[in-house]
Amino acid sequence: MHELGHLSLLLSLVASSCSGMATIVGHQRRLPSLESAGLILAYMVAALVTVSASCMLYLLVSGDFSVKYVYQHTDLSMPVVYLVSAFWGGQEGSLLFWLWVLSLYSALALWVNRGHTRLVPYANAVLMATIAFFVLLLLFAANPFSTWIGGAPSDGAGLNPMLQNPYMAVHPPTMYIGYIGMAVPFAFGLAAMASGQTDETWVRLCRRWTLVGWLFLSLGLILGKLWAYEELAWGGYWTWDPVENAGLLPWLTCTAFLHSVMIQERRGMFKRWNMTLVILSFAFTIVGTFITRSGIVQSVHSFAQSDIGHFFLGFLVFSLVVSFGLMWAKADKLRSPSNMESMLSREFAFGLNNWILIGMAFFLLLATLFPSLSDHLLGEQISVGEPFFNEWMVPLGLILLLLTGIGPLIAWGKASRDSLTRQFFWPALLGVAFAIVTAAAGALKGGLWPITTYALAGFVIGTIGQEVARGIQVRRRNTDESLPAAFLGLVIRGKRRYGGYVIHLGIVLMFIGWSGNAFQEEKEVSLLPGASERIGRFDLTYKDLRFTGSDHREEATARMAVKNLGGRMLTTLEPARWLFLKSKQPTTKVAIRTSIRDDLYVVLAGWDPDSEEIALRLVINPLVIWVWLGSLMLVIGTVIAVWPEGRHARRSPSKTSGLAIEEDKTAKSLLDEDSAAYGEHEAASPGNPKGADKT
Amino acid sequence: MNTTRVSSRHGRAVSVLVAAGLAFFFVLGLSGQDDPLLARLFAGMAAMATSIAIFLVGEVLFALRGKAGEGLMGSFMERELLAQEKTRLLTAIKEIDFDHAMGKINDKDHLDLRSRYEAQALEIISLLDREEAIFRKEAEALARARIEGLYKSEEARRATSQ
Repeated sequence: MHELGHLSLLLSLVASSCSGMATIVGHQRRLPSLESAGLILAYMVAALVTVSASCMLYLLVSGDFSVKYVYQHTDLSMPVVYLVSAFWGGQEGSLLFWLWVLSLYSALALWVNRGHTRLVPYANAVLMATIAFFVLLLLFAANPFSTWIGGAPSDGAGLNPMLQNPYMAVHPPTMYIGYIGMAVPFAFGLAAMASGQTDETWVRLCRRWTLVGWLFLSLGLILGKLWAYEELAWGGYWTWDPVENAGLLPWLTCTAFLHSVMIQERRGMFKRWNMTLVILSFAFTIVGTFITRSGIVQSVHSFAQSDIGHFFLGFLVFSLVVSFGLMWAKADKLRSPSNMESMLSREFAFGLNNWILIGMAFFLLLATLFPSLSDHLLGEQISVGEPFFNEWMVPLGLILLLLTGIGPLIAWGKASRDSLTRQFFWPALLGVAFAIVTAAAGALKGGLWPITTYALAGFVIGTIGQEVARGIQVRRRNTDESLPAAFLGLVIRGKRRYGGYVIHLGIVLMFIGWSGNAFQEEKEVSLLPGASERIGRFDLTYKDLRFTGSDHREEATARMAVKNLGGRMLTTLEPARWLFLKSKQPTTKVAIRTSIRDDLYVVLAGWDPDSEEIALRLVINPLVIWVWLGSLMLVIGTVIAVWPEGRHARRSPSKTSGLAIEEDKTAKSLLDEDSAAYGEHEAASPGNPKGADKT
Repeated sequence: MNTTRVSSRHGRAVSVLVAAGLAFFFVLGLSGQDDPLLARLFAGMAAMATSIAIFLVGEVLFALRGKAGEGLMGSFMERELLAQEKTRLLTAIKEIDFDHAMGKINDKDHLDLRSRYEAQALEIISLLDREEAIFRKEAEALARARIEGLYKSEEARRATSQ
């Protein structure tokens, strides 16, 4: 089976190279048959890479240890779910997985957009070039199908124990899909420049694909946080680890793009900026991979280090030179027809949001690479710790939170003083109320940042609430619907807008959760059986230490009775440590009691086998659950925003075009009829006398 | 870019069957008899992907020989794109009306944007009408040819029975 996998990779290299060339040559020489053949070859690449991926999955699950990758990442004792997840658990497999998803994603994007005949040939060429790079890497630098020269070993070395965690089974693929999601907007952006079709078409085509990529990047980051929280026993979920930062880089630029794209769609502005953002988002996915795999920085992901980093560096430089070279050559075509009228405008608020997001991305990049850069340039490695990142990222994050509230309130073009007063009054009042209430509840103990967070959270919640309330009001004025029906109608007809608000609400909840860090309590204690320790509002009593085991691991589990300060029994926590016998690698199993208010986080750090005295790390993490709830809201909001339009929006054009013309209707009357068919927002609009009559 | 009209229906069905047969015979032959069920499923997936790849080789050859980009599908694709564009513009009009009603766009901007979108939408609707006329003409020609063919074969059948 490994021969078939390898052969498919070789054929996919040929097919991807031919596909890219055929579509470009066919398009430029006006040979539609060659262009079509090139596009079919792109689908064939997806099929061929699927053959390779299926072969790899077959080899992993059937335990063919004659293949080095299978030997290095699985063993006979592993449950089947980790045999499958071993596909992305190592260098070669994860690259093959990346290639597989990229080829499928590319084929789907090309198929869906195949009608855009000017853009697709160039987009296909870019996607096929990216695919060819990965195939070359797999064939010549990280071959997943290479075998032992001698006989096959009887058992494998097993998967890294840290990766044998349910979150880790899904975190890497979601990150990869997120990374790959950035390739489609990049390809269509470059295609727009190469073809000269630099209007809003490419932006429109890419928006949904970018949102899907962004959703997966977000999911990947969330799952990574959950994994770090439960598996690494840090006591927290985010420590500005280089690889965490690497995942955050494209997320920041992609978030900026998803906002600035609205300015181009609505006002025709930010053309160059949007192009820059898609290029940067794609480049940061490569930077992230380079950081993860080159070993250039010390990270929790050191298991993924290898010597293929320089290939990614080369590809990164090549991509940037080609992309920015094309931008320079097509600078005239990317000039925006209009300029920003006022600083009191939504365009300016979005621009500011973009600058902060990009500033954060470059700050993160430099700070992440600073230890390596200082080592190379100064001959001394200067480490950059969590407090340094927090010092910069917390205020920048809070400015972003403020803009999250301002953006939807402020008008396009130029906002008047009256409009500003009317729009900002209630949200600002709610912000002040939040600050007063939380200060009274003791939030000032955490310093300035938490109280600022709550004030801004109140402001953004006020903004969202006001937007929804006013939207319902406008809708009800025109449709006489009940309140729930008007709310549902509003969300269904404006999925992008209201999905965005749900995402904003999720972000607010996350900020509230993050603010809990200011109130964190931590203790390191040693306890003998029967002894108790108090932390926060909990009283913990150490009951006993149990030793269990299986063929492949030994487990030591402490049992802790948790009571509240009034003596009421709340739960029993069982922090543990596992020792994997084959790798001799210990892992920590954290015990967590979660509530709306805080998490009690208990880590078994060590024990004395004779006296059964245990060393524990106890942490109170306030408000953590709000981070997870906010993450859930973010996912729900993105799904709403990305959901395809319903039947009302995809009505057959025949109802309002050709057939109607035959009935002697003018095109103008048709337009009014179709616009009115959406059944909303007709009121108080000078451009819409019908609505004005109603009011 | 049309990739559909490249072979006759029968030819394509035969090539699919041959590709699938070859792939399943070849790939499943490589897998072991004692493999777990999941491994056999992955082998089946590899076989299916192989058959699709073989089938697509045929499609590439047909595409190189054929005159892709012509016929009803071409018009249909263009019409679909125009319809999508029309929907987008109408949605954009809806959104700016909403923004205006919510006080997010001033009267001047609202009028400017609305008239710009209206002009674009009218242009698209006119194009759709033109496209539809072509589409209908082609459909009618096809239907006429089909009816004539049926009529002729019926006449031939009568002639032979007499």
